[in-house]
Amino acid sequence: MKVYLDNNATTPLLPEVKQEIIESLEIFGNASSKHSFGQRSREKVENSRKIIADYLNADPKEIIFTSGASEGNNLVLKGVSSCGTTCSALSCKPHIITTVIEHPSIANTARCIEGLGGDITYLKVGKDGRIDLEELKEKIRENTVLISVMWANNEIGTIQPIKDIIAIAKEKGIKVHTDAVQVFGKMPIDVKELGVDFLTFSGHKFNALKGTGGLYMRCANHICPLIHGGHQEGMLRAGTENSLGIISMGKALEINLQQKDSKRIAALRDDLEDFILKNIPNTYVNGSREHRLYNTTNISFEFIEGESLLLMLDHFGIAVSTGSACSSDSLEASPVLTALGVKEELAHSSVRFSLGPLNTQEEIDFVKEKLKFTVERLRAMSPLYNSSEM
Amino acid sequence: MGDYNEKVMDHFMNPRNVGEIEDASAVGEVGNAACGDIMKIFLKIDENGIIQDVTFKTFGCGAAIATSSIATEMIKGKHISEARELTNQAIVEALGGLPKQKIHCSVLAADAINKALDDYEGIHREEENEIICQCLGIDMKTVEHAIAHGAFTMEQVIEKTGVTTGACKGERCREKVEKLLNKYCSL
Repeated sequence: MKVYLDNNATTPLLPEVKQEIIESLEIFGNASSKHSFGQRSREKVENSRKIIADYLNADPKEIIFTSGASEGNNLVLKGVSSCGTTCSALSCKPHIITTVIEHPSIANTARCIEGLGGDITYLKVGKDGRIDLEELKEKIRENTVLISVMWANNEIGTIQPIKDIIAIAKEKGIKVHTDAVQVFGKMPIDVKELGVDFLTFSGHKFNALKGTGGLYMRCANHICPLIHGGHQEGMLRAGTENSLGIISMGKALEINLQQKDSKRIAALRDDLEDFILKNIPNTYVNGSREHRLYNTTNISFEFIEGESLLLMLDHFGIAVSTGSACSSDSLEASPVLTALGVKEELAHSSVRFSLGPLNTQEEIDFVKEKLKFTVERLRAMSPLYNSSEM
Repeated sequence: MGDYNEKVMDHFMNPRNVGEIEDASAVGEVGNAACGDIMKIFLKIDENGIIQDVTFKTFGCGAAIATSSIATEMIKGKHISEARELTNQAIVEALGGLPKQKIHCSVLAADAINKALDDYEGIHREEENEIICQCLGIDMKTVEHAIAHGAFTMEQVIEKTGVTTGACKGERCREKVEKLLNKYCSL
């Protein structure tokens, strides 16, 4: 049996999306061309834009297609700090507030902006993985141009109090960006009700293709493009549209299987988590269990190292991750877990299970059995287990 | 896992000589949990200095378990003087290679055996932690940590630790850093 529990890293294409892509392979026209070939592509691209806008309760004009969320996040941070309405990185010091648990596409972009002379404040998180709203209020300055906080964290699934963050920002007239990659397609989003200025998403996290994603940008905002060139995407993102990718996103969101299936996915996640906590001693859930994505659980298995657990589970056909896939080559303990105050040895022992709409109860039962066996096997090898025998 | 070859995976999935020896002649433990690796080696040595039995217990990644496993095979039945000569390069070669960022596991395996042999011979070594860069006071542990965490070239070690950037411009430390890089990465 093959069980894929790494849906926060990427998701499989849904069969309907695959079918739509295959049919659309025939549509090769450049969406910017005025002839019928081009117009066929344009229609498809705009249809997807409409589906995405409807999902967000936004205007289609407010959706900008990009190559993914890393580009979207770069576009917002660099775009706002280089020519926000009142300031530029060269003429004055823009100040951006973000957090210590952001995805590398925010964290490293923020570092780049610091290098160019911008100021960045990184908000701490508590043991539950959430920021402190009082700290946010204190850190706002005269020259704060943007608050960028990820809506839900990829590693631990913790959901931030985004509504409260926006309320605080609005009072001071500061723009808010949220990296919504892990929320988009999983829960309903209403950008008007939320009042958010910028929101980024990525196709392959909701059963569409890789290399495609987008940015919601409220009409009233203006930022500098990252990629200059043609007039595509309202001059904000030059380059011929990735029409196939965009079509795949429209189709995936039209089906919206993750969200429709959320109750069942949540029940599977809870079943797996309850089993682990009850039947495997010395296991700990990292981050808030209350404010959390319904598909994610991040658990430390004391006395064993995460990679060896991942490897042995992979041998049984079960795919999980340790920390974030982006950092699996680094040997450092996950910065997100250490930011929560998780001890380094427990951070090394952590594994993330992220479920999706294609997972079944049968699969979860298989995982339970193999997981218990694997943990016992690795613990029997561990010098730490004996020395602290329970 | 694409990074590991079949032999490494075999030693990881079916590790040899796992466990403890209750009446061990000697025990050696290296590493710490905060760094993600601990290896413990148990030796049973007869009156002729032959290693009759050897077992291990390891907390660590796939490579840490595989290097421990093969290292125990390599010294079983050998005289302690031969076991002393087991290098981390020999362990990596026996495994048919390791990803670069996992070479440090082979160093730990060789170190654990040496530590167990020290225990047998009653040798107590002071923690070796020489100052490598005299100008900036950067010690060996710092440089080793940088190498173990992905600094595989001189430039990367310089960037991570600051060695060679002091007043003497590396005149005193460059050679020592090269030696350490050779120990961990020259495979």
